Amino acid sequence: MARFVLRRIVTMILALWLIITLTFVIMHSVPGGPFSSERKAPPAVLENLNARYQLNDPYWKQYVDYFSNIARGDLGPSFKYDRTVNEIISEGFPVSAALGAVALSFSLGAGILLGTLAAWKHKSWLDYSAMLLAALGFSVPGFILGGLLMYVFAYELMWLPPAMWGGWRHVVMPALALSALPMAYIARLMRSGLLEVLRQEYISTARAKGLSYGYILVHHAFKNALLPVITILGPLAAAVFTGSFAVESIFAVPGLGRYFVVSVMNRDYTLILGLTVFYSAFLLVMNFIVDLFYFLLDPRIRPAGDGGG
Amino acid sequence: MVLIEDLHVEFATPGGVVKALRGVNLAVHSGEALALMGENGCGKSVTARAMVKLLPSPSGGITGGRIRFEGENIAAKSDKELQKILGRDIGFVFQDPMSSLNPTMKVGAQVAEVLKWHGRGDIKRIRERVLELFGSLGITSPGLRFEQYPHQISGGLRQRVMLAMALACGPKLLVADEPTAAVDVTVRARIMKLLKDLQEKTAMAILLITHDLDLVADLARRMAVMYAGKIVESGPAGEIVKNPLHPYTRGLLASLPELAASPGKRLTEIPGRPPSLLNQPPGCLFRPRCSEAVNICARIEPPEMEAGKGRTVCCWAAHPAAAEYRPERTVSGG
Amino acid sequence: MELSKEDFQPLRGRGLPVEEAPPAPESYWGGVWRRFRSNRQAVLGTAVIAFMVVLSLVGPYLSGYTYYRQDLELINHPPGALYWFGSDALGRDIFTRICYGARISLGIGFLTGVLSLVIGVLYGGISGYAGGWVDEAMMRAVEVLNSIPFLLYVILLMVLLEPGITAVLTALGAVFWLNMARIVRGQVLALKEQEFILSARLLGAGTWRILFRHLMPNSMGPVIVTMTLIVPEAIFTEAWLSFLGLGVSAPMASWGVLASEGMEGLRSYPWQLFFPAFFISLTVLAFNMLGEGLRDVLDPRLRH
Repeated sequence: MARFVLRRIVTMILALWLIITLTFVIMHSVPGGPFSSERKAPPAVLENLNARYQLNDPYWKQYVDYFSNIARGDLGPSFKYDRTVNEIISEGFPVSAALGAVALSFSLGAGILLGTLAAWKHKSWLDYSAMLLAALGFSVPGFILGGLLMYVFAYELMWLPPAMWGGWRHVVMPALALSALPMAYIARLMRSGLLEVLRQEYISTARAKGLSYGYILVHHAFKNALLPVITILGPLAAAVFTGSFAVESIFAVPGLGRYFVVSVMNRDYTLILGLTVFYSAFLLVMNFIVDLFYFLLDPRIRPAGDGGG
Repeated sequence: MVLIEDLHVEFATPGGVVKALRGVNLAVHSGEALALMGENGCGKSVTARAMVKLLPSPSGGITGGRIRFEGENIAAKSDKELQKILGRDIGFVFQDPMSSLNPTMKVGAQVAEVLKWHGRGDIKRIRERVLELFGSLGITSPGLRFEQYPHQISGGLRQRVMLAMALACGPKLLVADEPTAAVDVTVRARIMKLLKDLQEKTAMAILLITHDLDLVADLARRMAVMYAGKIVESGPAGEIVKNPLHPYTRGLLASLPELAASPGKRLTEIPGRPPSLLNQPPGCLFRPRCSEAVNICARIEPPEMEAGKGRTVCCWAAHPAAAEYRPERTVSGG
Repeated sequence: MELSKEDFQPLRGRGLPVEEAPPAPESYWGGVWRRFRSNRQAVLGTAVIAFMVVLSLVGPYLSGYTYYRQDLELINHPPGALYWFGSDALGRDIFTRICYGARISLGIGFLTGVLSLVIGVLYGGISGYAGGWVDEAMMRAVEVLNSIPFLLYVILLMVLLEPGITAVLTALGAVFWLNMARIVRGQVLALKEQEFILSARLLGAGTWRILFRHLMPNSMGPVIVTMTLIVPEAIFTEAWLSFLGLGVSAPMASWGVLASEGMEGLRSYPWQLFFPAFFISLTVLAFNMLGEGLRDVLDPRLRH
């Protein structure tokens, strides 16, 4: 147990260190960037930058300072605005997180349902239509799906508002656009996982005990088929949050994703780097939590000593 | 108790239809054990699974014949009716005790489940019953085992957990596929004794699939030998071991270490391999490996023939005409 | 039944008849070709991809327009006989631009696939073949890199580099080899222990010979599948980057750029989004189908 958790923690710390170092190197190598001599930022910002990063110090000292600032959770000022990255995050992230949570929950629910139905009625019309839906989810990029949804539901049918943020009606389309890909992924994984599990000998054992098909599905097959789904929750969360950069822009959702896009367009380097570090750390922690969760669910990787099963 | 008549099972594979069972006849009576023997792939396990409709669907299925359990046709029963019988009246022990247990469920819960499902009392009573079963199967510290997962216990223990599961509800019929393959000698003796007791006390019938002749000698009064999806010889176990009629039975018995270990005998292997059940040539399927084949063996598959009291055999050598026409036999080389 | 004396005479050539010789084993690639032809998914996917490639090559000659010709009097013209797929906000023919976009999007997909193949095979092959602590260190590094949400770094790289095909390829190539390296390593590890490697070694084959003659061809299956599935993901990612304003724009536009341009006039000129969206989705679908199909076709476990 301890070994598994320890290994994950070490991986996470290494990744964080790599991320911070990477961004530091990038900061210093951008031509026209924040730390180069030919920078063209407004004077107020330049003052901020100098005060903040002590650009006359030797590199190693700058690196240590940069590192310790981030370690304290201080991501520094924006390159273009007279605001700090932290302020921008505290404003935009709750919106993005809410949207991401809705999209992830929806893709989990719908994906598991579709995958289970497809495996349960294997090779029936239900199976084929679920897999067709999944194939579509795989092949339409989120921002395009967002555009198509907007055209149909906002412009043609006028059922939903095309943009902005407020009640649930504003959440539906962006959440759908974001959840298509993860949903397709989960549905496929769930289906193949269940089919695989249902072929196992222990399912025969369960049937020989006289258990009903539904009971076996819920108590024996479902949990074991769910395990691979859990392992990809981390990457899927990353996909949802990066996907939200584009989707939030389309639907004018005032979330962090849109800030990201705007900062890219403005070449607001410190904001891009700050947001990158923030998102990376956030997703790494999510990944770690998912791993812990997996570890609690699968007894085979739990015993101390022999990691295998 | 169980009567299988002319059972046919086929599997659809990418290479074509495999005729796994080609007319199997079997009977197991109350209080009696029948040993089913044969090489791997001869259809022993398929027979056991087909009996309770546990074939892998949709590729495998019963294509003919009847299975009667206490006079009722199992093949005609709905899943729901079957679920009442399985686990309660019929206990099943599968061959591979590792893959046959759910890896993410504690073994105690897996045994308790069958009791719970068939309504054998509340959680406390069920737990007591499981611990009692574990004890009677010689599982030490049953309380600890109850809380463990399959990968945490040895192969022998897993096998006994499987047995506990099958015996939990006091079944009328136990179907056991190699129940003693993974256990050591002392545990094997204990299991044999337990099964024997159950057989005597509760008149439990046992269908025993095994290579273990000691187990057969101890438990089974009757024996059936399978080859290529058919029973080629059946009858009282003692008589068959003493005087096997089918050349395949002779080969099989000679290849088993228990018998060959007796002085004066050598451990021999049957030459050749079992036939593919995909495209069958005409005639007896054992013919290509048989040293005693005659012309008709290549043309017509031998029917089941009576060979003395309670014995049957599928071999042209046992046909009355064979004795009549047989040329002066040269002593067969073996 | 009539049974004659002859029936019971010993069978001629008895003893142990020779087993019928098994049918001549078909070569690995022969089997692959046979299964490929009967795999509907793979054939359909290939057909669509082939169609896209042909379209990207001959399409511009069919329409008679160039991708850059502007006709400011015929802007936002709906699809019809004049412009098959309509015209865009600058009066350019969308059909022709999609054909050129196909060259860029498909090109980026293929090149990213090849790039990750080269890096992945080198990295994974060395890691798997070396084994021991080298393998351990190299795979730990992949594990760490893999835990990083890399698309963020693709954006960073794109911000740093001048937008263009080179930048996109560098950024995508830097990300997609990770999975390939793991697949290759797994294959190499599995194959390393097998007997034919041992026999090759006993016959005196050198390390490089083993690597190229035995290991590489035998681990082809999953590698090809992985590569096939990298292509649509690269196309997908490029489209997304384009939307963020980081794609391949001047002078020719990728499908992603066309789609995000189409997004701007969505309300009044929806075809400007529909056509690029359709081509992206169809192509990605085709590659996914081909990849899934190849998985079945190449899986050695299904060989018989």
